[in-house]
Amino acid sequence: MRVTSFLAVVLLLSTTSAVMEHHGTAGYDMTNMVTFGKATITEIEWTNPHCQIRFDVMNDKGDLEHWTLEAPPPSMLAPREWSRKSLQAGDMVKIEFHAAKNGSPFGIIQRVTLPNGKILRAYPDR
Amino acid sequence: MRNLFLHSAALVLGVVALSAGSGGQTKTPANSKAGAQGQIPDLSGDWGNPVGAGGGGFIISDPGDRKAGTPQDDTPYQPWALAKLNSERPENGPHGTFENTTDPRLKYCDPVGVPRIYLVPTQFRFVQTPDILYILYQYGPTWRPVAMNRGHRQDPDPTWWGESVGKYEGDTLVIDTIGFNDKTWLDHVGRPHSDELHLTERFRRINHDTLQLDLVFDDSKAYTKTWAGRKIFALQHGGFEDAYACSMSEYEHFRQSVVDPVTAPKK
Repeated sequence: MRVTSFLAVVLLLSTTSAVMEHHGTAGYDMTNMVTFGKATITEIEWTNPHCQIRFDVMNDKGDLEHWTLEAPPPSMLAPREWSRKSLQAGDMVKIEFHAAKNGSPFGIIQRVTLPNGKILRAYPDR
Repeated sequence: MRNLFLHSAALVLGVVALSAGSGGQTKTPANSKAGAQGQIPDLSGDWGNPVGAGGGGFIISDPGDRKAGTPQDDTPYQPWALAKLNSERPENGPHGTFENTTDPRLKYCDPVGVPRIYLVPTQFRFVQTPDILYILYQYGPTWRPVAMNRGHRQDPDPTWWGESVGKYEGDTLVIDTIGFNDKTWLDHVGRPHSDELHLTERFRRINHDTLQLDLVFDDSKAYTKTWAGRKIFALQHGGFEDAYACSMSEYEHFRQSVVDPVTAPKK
């Protein structure tokens, strides 16, 4: 576990249907949810076929890790109260996602909690 | 150029649709008549996946398409069609893989065609006019004309979307399409079809917020008998105007920045 001090793993008995929305999730561990309580947003790409959210976290060795999360496309995020300005570089947020199976610092996002407590859901809760 | 034409045409149709009635929807009074065809059912609104439902598939007994190509899959494939299905590398289904997909939509940005476009998690809207019914798809964006109350032309040339004719049967819109090429997948898991596919779509608004699509696939080249599918859509509230453009360069960027590292061998 690369970032154990910042990471809470929540085992969920869930189906993959909610995120089988655009393309497959075969590369991600859809049975486990990873949570970073303090992630610093570095960039959001508001683009097709998937938006991309990049953030940094400090691991338990004090090293900075750079993560990239796949997100739905703008056409799906917009109806879910997202905009391209929802996340700005420098924002510190709580972020929940399913990580890549191969251990690389990638994942597919589930939801973000902003400092004011507002929750932005990329996919419906399951 | 063709894409430019389709995009422009969709914009024009979108303007027509937006100006046609309240809420940007075409409204048809419940007692209006459409000549000899009787009442025109009200299909107004934007339609898409119900909340929490994924793209899934059309198989009624397996809506998540988790059995496709397995011994539990009772789709009546011709042998070559089953072999082709199992040779594909889709990103969904029981053999879904993130790596080296053969999906023509993801690999080439090919048109998804019909009925697969209904599995893409985007919205669509009907524009009902007396002679042509237009379906505006957010994905593409593209539009599809359905000639109403007439038959097919003689031996139409094969195209990505085929030739569609339609009629109303009571509260149901029936669309009959032939003249497909054989380049599209029927769904996200890669079920194939031939250029002899004869597709019937039956749309019925089973309540104000729910639209049911029943499909009949008739393609003796690829399947030993006709088979049926179904998809349920929910009335959407916003988002239709945000077009989803399929761009090969954007797909390539996504592939390089996400798919390749996610599919790299485990360290």
